Amino acid sequence: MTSAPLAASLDPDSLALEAGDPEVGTVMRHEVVFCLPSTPADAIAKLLADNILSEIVVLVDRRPVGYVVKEDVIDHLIAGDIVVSGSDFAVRPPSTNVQARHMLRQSPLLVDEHQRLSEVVSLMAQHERRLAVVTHEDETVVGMVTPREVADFALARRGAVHA
Amino acid sequence: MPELESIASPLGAECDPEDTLSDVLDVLRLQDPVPLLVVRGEDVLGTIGLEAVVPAFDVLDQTSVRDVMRPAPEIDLGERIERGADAMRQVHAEAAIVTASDGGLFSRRSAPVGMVSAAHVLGAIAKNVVDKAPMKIMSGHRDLGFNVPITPCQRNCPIRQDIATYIDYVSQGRYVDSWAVIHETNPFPSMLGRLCNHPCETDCKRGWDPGEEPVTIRSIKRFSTDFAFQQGLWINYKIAPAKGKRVAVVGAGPAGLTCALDLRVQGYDVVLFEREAKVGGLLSTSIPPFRFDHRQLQWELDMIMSTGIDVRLNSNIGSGPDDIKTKDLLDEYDAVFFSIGMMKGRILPIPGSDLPQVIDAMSFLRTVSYDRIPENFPIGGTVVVVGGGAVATDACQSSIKLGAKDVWMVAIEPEDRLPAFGNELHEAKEIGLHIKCGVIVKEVDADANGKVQSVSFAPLQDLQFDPLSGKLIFSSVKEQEHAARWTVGADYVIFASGQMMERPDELVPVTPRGLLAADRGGHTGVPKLFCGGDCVQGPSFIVDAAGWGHRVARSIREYLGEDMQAAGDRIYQTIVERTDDHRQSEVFARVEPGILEAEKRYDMTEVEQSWSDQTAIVQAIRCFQCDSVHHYDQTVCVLCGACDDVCPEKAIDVVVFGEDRERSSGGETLVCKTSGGQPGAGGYEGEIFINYDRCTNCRICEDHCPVNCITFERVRFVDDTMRVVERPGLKVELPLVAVG
Repeated sequence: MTSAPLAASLDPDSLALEAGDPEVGTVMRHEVVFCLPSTPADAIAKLLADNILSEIVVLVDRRPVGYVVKEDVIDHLIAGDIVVSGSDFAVRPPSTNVQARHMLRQSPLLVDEHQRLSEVVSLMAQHERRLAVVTHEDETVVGMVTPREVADFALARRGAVHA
Repeated sequence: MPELESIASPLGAECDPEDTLSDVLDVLRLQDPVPLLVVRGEDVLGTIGLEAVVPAFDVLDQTSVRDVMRPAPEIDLGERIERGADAMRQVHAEAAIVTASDGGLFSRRSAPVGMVSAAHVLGAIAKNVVDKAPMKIMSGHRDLGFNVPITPCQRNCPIRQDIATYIDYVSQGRYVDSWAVIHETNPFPSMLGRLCNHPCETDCKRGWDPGEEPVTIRSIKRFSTDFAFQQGLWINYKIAPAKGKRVAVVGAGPAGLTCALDLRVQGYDVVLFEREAKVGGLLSTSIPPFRFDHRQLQWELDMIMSTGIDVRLNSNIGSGPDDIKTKDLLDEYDAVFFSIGMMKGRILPIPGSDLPQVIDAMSFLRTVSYDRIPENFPIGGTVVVVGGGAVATDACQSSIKLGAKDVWMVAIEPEDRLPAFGNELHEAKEIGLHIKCGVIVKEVDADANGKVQSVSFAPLQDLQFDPLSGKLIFSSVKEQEHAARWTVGADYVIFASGQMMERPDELVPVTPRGLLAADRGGHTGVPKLFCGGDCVQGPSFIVDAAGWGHRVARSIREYLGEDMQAAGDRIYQTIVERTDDHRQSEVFARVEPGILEAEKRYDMTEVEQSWSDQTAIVQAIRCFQCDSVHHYDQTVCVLCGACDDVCPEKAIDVVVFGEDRERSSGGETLVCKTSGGQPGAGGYEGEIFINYDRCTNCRICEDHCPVNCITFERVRFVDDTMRVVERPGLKVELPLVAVG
């Protein structure tokens, strides 16, 4: 009797996700570190450093309007637009007039929380981004994916295979 | 000025250039954000950071550190931080090796003593920050969506329809106003009034109450649209002054048309390429005629086209000899949007699936949409449709209406888990559809003449479904052992087993899943190129596609340098309307639109019936009007707390400064801030907060306010983009009036 393999008789889009490629909503960081267009460059540096990020999304009225990369902040330091002070205890004037709006790059990478992780990583690689902003279907921002989350998943996947 | 010495860290962990990323992943993660040193012998060759994991995600064990490491410049420990940062940036390094002289005072030798990474530099800048106000971190969806007076239905709608407003207008008999509000974000209300999967109703606050059902939002939209169509109305769009930029939109489906309209209205020159002989995409080529009114769809398409969109029909973008090439579009236009859908049906690769009487459902429905009977279709014969979704149901009903004697729908899922939704299945069964569930297709058998004779299926064991997505879990699909196959005689087989995206050419990036690669805004990695709709998301609903169209239009406008905040020549209005309560609505139950009697459903006549005014108004009155928000007259309010006490939903918090009042509503929307007299000397000062996820607009607070300071108001922001006029060229037959 002729027989087709089971997989040949199924629509792949009707199947649930494989454990090896989960929805990004299940692996994302469940917080969104963001700044406003008016956020000063030194505050952005603090947000990036404190949260171990290379990019930060800029929101206006809860809507992503752009992003800032750490290299742009450092370039302003090199250009002398940001002053690095010497002591933690000094009373200091504002160290910079540079704000997020001056470094804003358009088109943050927005992905849906139901997208597969492999697709999101592929988009990050294609766009050369280190931050994917995860959105709910109502377009509110719900989380983010950075190389840390990607690495954590890769480690967990490797652990599962070895177990 | 601080020096590198003040921020440098010890050299940290090392790896060999021949190690793979998989070998070093643990250490990379542990040491992040400081990169690993790549060392061979005594020499530091470079550094490797965690960011290298992203492009190599699928091949970590095949990617050697040597291939992805970054250079590591050396710089003296005594240099300023800015110099160190500059040294890194010049060679695109992630870190610099700081060195100190090795030997006596006049020694020229130096040795690595530490490392400074970009993270160290950022940390140094961060030490300036003393003001914590700009530190913004949000956690989770609810923090963002909560307490914003946007209605739950609107929040769930991919195109953000102002639902509560258009429903309220219907309840007041203002049908034309209602239709105009719908058109603000929805170019296809006649289609979405009939065929939308209505995610808005899923989140309707009326449906949150036990024993209650959501408002029939979709059908109210259809009612308003039917009214406007019957009245011969039309929308004139005010086109902004020409921007001098040209945008190509590929694919005239709901995503492409929505995007084209948005851009055209903003003054862009839009050229719309469509490979079919008519616009509409799946609206006009995949949805059978008995599901909607073709005249209304044409009316809506005409309104879009009348804005001056340049339509090029029968124009395919691809790699064939007669096709237009993606590269040519990218060269010629300022931006290109691919919304090509998933228009190719999937035929499962089983034995016999290449017989001439086997067809995919998309091709079948497309032929029917052109008012033609598909080749080899057996009028008076037996048709077997493989699949259990909405497309399968449409193929089944179309087959019955085209004259097939017996039509079978055969699916692997049990009948209560079939993906077909709504009444479609019930409707189809009423006109004679046979259903067989729990079997999987194995083979299409042919007779001696090479014509389809039968289809055989294998019975399955009980299936399991993912509780979150509702989708089938592949590992649970197992044939029953030693069970006899189920075979059904057939003259024609239609595979409704999924759809596929046809990639135009190599320039357009794809994901591992075979879809076009773009983010939620439609951005791809290719300059000027945007993608959106089903071809990015996978098979979805019409309203999702329209949502993509709006989002990508916004992305293209941003990409082309438009100031999105600027008003341009639009005239903006703020409308503040005082709204009535709908308390009496509790006596009315949800009503679904009627369908044509079964005996009248054997041709392509539209199945779903329209509503009368009375039904529409009654159903509209059921809406809670969640868009109406409290207006407290701050000059009158005395912060007595009566509203807080009587609120049955515990949605109000009255906070009087100096008093220990409980804040239990969780509301953060400040609606009143007032004071009277001198606090501490008989006076008061305080605030009132509302949780609009709890408020049901019952207006009991309004009734019980002793000083009558509460009213309910709706605030809308509209511009002059649209004007409702009489349909051009419409012949109005006026009744004859007898002249005395």
